[in-house]
Amino acid sequence: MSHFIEFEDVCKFYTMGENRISAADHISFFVEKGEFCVIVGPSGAGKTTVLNMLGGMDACDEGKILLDGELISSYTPRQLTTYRRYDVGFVFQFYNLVQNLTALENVELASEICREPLDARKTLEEVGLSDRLGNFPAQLSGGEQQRVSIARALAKNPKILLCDEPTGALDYHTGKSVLGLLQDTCRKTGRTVLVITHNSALTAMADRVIRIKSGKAISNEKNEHPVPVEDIEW
Amino acid sequence: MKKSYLRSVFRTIRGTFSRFLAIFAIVALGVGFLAGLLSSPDDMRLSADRYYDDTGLYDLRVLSTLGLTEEDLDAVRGIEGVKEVLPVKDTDLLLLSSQGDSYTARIHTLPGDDSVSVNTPQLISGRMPEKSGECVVVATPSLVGDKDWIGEKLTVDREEAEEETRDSLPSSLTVVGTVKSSLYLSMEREHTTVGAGTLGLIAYTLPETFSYDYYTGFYLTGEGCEELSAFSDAYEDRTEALKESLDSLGEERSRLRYEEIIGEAEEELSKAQKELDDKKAEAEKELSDGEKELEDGRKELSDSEQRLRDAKAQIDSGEQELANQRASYNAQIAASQQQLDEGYAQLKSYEDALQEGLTKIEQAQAQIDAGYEALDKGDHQLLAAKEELDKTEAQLLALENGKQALWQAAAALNIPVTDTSDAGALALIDTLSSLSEEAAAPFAALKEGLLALAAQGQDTVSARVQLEAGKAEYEKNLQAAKQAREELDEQQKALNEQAAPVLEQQKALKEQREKLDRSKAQLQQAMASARLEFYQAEEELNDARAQYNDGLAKLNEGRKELESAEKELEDGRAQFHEEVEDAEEELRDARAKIRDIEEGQWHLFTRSSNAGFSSYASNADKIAAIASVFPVFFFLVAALVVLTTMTRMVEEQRLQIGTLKALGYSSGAIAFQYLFYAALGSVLGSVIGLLIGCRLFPYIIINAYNIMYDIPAAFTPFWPSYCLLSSLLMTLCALLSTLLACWSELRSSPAALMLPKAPKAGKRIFLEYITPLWERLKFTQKVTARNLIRYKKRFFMTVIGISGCTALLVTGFGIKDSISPIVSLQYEELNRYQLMVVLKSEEALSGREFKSIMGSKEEIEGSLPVMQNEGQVIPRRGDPEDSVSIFVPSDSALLPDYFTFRHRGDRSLIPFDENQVVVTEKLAQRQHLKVGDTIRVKNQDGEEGSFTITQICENYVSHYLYLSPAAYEEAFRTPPEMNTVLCKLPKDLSQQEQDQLVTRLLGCRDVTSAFSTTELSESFGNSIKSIDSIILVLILSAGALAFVVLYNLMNINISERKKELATIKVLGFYDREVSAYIYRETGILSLIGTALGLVLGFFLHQYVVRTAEIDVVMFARTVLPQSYLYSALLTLAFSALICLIMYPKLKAISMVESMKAPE
Repeated sequence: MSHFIEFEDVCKFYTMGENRISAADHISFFVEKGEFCVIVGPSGAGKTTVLNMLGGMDACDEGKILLDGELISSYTPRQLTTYRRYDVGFVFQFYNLVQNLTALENVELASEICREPLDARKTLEEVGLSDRLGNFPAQLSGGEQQRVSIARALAKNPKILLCDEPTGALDYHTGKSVLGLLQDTCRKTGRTVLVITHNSALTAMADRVIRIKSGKAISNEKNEHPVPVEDIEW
Repeated sequence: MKKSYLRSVFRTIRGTFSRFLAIFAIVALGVGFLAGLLSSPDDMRLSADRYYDDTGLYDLRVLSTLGLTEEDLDAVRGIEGVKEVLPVKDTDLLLLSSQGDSYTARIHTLPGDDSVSVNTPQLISGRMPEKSGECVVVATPSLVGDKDWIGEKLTVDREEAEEETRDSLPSSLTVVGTVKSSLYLSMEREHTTVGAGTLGLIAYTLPETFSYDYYTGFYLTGEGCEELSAFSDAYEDRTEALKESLDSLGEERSRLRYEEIIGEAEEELSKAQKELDDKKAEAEKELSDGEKELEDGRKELSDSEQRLRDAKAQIDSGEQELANQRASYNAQIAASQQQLDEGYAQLKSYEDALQEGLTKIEQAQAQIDAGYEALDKGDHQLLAAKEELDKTEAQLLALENGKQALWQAAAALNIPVTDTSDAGALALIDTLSSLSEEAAAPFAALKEGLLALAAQGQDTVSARVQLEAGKAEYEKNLQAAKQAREELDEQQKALNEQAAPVLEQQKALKEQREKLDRSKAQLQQAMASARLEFYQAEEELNDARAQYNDGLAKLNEGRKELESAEKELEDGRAQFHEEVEDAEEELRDARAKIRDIEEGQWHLFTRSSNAGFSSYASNADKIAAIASVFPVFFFLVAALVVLTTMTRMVEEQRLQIGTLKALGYSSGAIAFQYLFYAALGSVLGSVIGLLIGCRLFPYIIINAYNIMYDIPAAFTPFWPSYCLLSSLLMTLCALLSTLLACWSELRSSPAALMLPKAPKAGKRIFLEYITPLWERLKFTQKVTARNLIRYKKRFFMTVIGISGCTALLVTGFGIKDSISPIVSLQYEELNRYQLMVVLKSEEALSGREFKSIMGSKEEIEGSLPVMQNEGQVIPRRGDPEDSVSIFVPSDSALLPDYFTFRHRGDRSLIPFDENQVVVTEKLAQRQHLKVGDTIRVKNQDGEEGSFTITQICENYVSHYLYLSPAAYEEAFRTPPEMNTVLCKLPKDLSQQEQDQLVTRLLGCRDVTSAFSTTELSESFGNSIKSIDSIILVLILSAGALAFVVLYNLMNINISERKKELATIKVLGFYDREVSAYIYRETGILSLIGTALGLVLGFFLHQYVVRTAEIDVVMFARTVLPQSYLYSALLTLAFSALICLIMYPKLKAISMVESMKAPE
């Protein structure tokens, strides 16, 4: 009973006017430590809700969320902030880099507030941007920006890395290389990585695939033979 | 316009309400502030003008010191353009309240009937006077306070009142009501020549109260003046024209009046002169009479002295004579005495001799007498012896007879008689007795005799013998005695013969003695009479001496009397001189008064000479000057706020613009949406701003000034010009900004617009090139620095807004700092005198009473006569025309004691001496003069002089040119005539004492007025109070400005950077850190703005102060350090407040925002 990440009957409701929408309807799944997990489902299935709750951006209304034995679902907003600060690395679909900061500074923005940050410069070198450290986001391509975003998440030295459609705004090749980077990171550092996507093709590269539909986890499969991303086509 | 399109516009407004509100608020603020401040002075003027019109305030005031007559009144009524004329009998005097408070008062007369409505006072409480002796008082808060006046009885202070006033007024006035009068809008600086020098009470009464036979003045209104604003040039022109036409009338009328009055006065004067001369002559005669009398007395005194001397001589000689006589008398007496004594001595010797003889005779006589006596004695003894013998014989015979009887008895009884002796007798008797007592009893005497004889050893027989012997002897002795007597008689006879001559001699001697005694008695009598005579003479002499002493005493008395008479005469003479001096002084006074009756000119005054009017007008001008500066900030900030807001809005709606464009809407139509948005905000803002601003600001300002002025109602109409100007300007500004904001977007193609706009690229900022500095900055500081510079529009908007806020505050506080201290600077530090006495002519200085007041050290510590000549500066090209007081002390060395000459900046003292030419700072500035420049001035008489300035000194009120008397005389060729006296008063002089002093000074000859500097500073101090309200307005406006600007900035910042903020929230920034991320920028902007604002405030303050300064007043122009501090702190407090208000909004940003696609 000691999975690294565990959702137990988690529910989340949104009230839109008079309607109450269940974004998560008794959802339960788990992920083991060090896995590269892909959560896949169609638009509106509740992927992002799951991510938000796991990332500490949103609280669940019912059920339990556990990470590394900690009951996140019971956290106060302040504790959630602390949790985000030290345990979660987040990669956004639209990179969300601070335009006014250089690549290096964007990474530093995160590392500044952490307890045991990785070296920002080194991290950027690791994501292959050693020659773009001083550039502003506007001077970088989408892929490069996403790499900075990944570096920013990694530099915090988090327990989990959450990626929300990391390739959504990227072209095919760039997306592939970013996914490769994420996969490599998982393999090299043993960090647990969760990627949310609507692209089922990506499931092939995952250690674990969780399928979500209408706010429910309809499957949770362990992929014994993940393939490198280069071998996947979509 | 399509309906759906319009709907979309309104929806936009609703959707972006805070943005709309920002535009609305800043426009309202800017427009309201501008229009409000612009219309404030006009509102002030209008409110006053309405009040003036309602109360029919005079347009022109005619005064003549000679008084005005009915004929004058008719003449004035006849002038064209004169609407109404109110003739008045006004007077200034001292009134005493029932509590004994003394008021320097002016009494006005009300129009006699209701037909004239000039200067109508408005009743506040009570009723208007209905009969003579009743009055109403003007109750302005600054004047009489809360005192309940109605029923108060005001007594005319007769001691202080002028004769004329005294005679023509009842002794007291009863207050029946309080009024308000537009004549006295404020109570400042209304001068008078009585009492304390400034008015403290105004009263209105009926004309009947006065019994003057002339009017003291006319108040008149002009045709068509009411329609014009009293503060306008047109009004001034009209009244000036009226004044001119009255001027010529005045010249004519017053000449007539002058001649009349001068004639009267001269006559009176000459009468007085004559009276004086008469009295003088009379007194002189009296004095010479006295002198003569005194001379007589003196002569009499010397006569009696002579007489006394004679008497003294006589007494002395009498005394001498008496002494002589006494001497000769004594000698005579002595001689007679001697003679007498000699006579007595002789007599004595004779008598002695006689006595010797007599003694001898007496002795002899005594011997004879003794012989006789012895004889007599012997006779006696013989006689006694005879008797004895007879007696013894009788006894013996008795015994012998007894014995015989016994014997017979014995024989009878038969008893033998044996013994016939005595013894046998005895024994027989015993025997008898033994036989019977009766028988023995006739023999008891016998027994006793026998026993007694026996006791003598005798017996009857011996005794017979002895007796016989004795008888014989007796006979013999008798014989001898007869013989002796005869002898003695012989002796006596001889002696008598011998004694006769002696007795003769004795008789002669006796006679001689008698004679001697007589002469002695005579001598004694003579002596007694001589003594009496002497006594009498002495007495007489004593009498004479006493008389003499009396005479001497009387003489001394007389001498003393003479002396006192002499003194009296001397006193009388002194008094005479004094009285003459007095009378002459009085005459001089009278002459001065006649001199005062100036050339019979009418004085015509427009409203500008009314203290309330002119100070109100200048205050309105000041507000106007200030109003023209402040709104600039609001405008600038408003434009920037609209620009940034609209830019942001256009950017947000980029996609919509693209869509609309793609749908086929023209650029104009699209732009219209934003222009409409901005226009709606501006117009609504303008309307609200005007509605509030045009009412609120003038209202606050007018009310602030109502501390000093008594404007009953504030009129705050909308001035179309100001309203249109400000709202149009603002709306135009907003539209232009909007157009500018959408211009670049509208030019883009729809396709480009559909794509999200590339975020504004980050840029390296100049700071980064200063590597040592940049590296030292913390990460967050770097971010802040870059962000600040990234958003330039916001940067400027905020900095300008905040600095404007600070600058407004600095200016507000600074105005106070600049104006407040000038009172104490000018009237305490610079002017070191407390009282200024203005003289009509230099002659006042020699007035006796004046001199005595000036000399009393307990009231006036020191005084310095100076000349203040109201001259004109002859300006150099382009400089303004300024009037200047040419100030010449009578003693250059003393002037620095009365005025502190110093430089303003470093406060270093300037020595004043004969060679200095000192100009006051403000004048130097206005005329652009420096030390070493030449100033040309024209003095009162039109003479020109030029001086080389040696020093420029600190001064705040009025312009002065300080010269030494020598320098003045050299330049103007006339010696300066002292017309002012500066007085230093002791520190402990109470206000009351000071008032009394002023009252007495005003009573002196040729003294025009006396001002106490405390009074000046007080009235100045009052006007400063109103500044506080203006500062409050400024603080509120500054706060509003800061609020709008920061609120807007914050709003834009948050909405534009929502995603960024959400991202950093996701990254795990605590709320505090997130807000700090934004607030750090706001804080730095506020700090920069504040710092800039302090600098800006310094300049703005300088500008405003210079603008608001009256030509003749220099403000302190300094802002105190604490004012900078307060301004900065207030500004920062405002921004902190806004940060606090915005905090919830920051906290509410959802992290979900970070997931959204870029706009």
